[in-house]
Amino acid sequence: MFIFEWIGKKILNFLNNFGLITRFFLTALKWLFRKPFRWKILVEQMVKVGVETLPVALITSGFTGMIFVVQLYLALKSFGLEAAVPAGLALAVIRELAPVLAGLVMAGRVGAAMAAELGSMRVTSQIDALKTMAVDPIHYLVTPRIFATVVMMTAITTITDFTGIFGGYVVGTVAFDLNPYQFYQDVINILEPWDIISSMIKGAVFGFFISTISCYMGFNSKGGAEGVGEATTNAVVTSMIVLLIVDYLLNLILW
Amino acid sequence: MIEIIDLHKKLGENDVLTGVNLSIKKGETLTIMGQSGCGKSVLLKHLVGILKPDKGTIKIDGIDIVNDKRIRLSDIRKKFGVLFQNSALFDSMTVWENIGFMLKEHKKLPDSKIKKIVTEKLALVGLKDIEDKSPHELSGGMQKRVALARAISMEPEIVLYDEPTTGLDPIMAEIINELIISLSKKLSITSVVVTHDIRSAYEISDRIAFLYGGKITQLGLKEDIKHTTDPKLRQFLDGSATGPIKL
Repeated sequence: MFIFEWIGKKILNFLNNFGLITRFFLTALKWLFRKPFRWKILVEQMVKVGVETLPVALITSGFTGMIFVVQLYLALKSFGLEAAVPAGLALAVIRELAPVLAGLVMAGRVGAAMAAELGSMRVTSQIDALKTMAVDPIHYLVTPRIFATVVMMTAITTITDFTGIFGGYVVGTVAFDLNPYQFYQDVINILEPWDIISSMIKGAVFGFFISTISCYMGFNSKGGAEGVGEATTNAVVTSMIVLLIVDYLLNLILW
Repeated sequence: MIEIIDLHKKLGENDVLTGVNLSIKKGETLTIMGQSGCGKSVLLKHLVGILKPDKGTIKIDGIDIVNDKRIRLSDIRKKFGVLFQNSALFDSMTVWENIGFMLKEHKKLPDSKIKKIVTEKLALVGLKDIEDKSPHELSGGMQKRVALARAISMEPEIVLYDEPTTGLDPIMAEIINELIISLSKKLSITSVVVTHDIRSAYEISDRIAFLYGGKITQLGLKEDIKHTTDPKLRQFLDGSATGPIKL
């Protein structure tokens, strides 16, 4: 009996949180189309999200492309299939590695920062202060963050698509003597426009989930420093798990 | 005029407010006293619509801010200035951005005009030349005064003070008390103060209310409250550990 009670409570808790996050996002979405448009905050957030994420995302995707080519070359060489390395690299990076790695970096850096900032504002009454000043805190704090993250995540995913392939290209042509022109041609030939578009869609969807979950966790944090820490950890862990689940679902839908 | 009618609020398992009835007259300074955790700040949050009551209502100048669906809470909130216990200054903004926040949001004034008003408000609370500082560069007392300048930036009709002297040294507490008195006189503000600082309450109040067990159990002019014979209020005012109030 105890196990069923436990499972039931967990399911109810999940559904409750799912409903609350959905309502939270719908409120943020409603404010996107209402005046005043907060362009200044939006641009500030886009710069912040980009600056925080891009360098780490570039390093991660570049090195992952390099490592991927090393392993792929060694694996395919034993079958005499090393010519398939560029195509394998391009598909893996664009369809999977670039958006997922950019998403995980985004969750770790931007998600944590958003949850911590909003959590800190919650426990020091700054969010209540906004309300008393007749400013809706979701409009002021959350809507620009979600929108900025979606836009920047799309852009960063596109950039990491290319750095990932470039990393693999450098290792493939320098370390394994693959023909540079043939490498380039193989990459171009295997890729379809839809691969790039779907990679961008993945990035945008990941950005949406990361920012919504992180803002929600921070916005609803309780207690003092401990509550902010808990909200930050929950934001990162939940964002990463949701990102991987959504990634699987998107793979079923997009290809 | 503020009317609080049969206000009930439960937070978690605790019945915090169990039928608060209170009228606050225009232009007066009313202090709500009570033990720590008795629901003073919760009551204050209801006045400005941050919390919604489980039962009962609040009327501001005759407008029911709880049940009247036609009113916009943001319009009502513009009548208020709030001084939070921990100042609640926006730490990502400078002093002038904090004080000028509402002017920028609601009056759409140019920065030059906002800066001028900010300087005037800072002078009212006895500060100058700190416009470009960040809140974390200021002492606790200065933060409180900046928060007060922010609270009066839109020249509100009503100012709510949540524990205005808590955490301050006696001299700074006295400065804040004098500021509350002078601002309410100069700007004809209705002031609602929540505190457990008895000295401060005697100094700034016209009337004092005592919140106990989720209800206002005593209400009167400060001179009457000073000489009360009610055992619970007496114990609270005397700061006695023994008496009818059980901890």
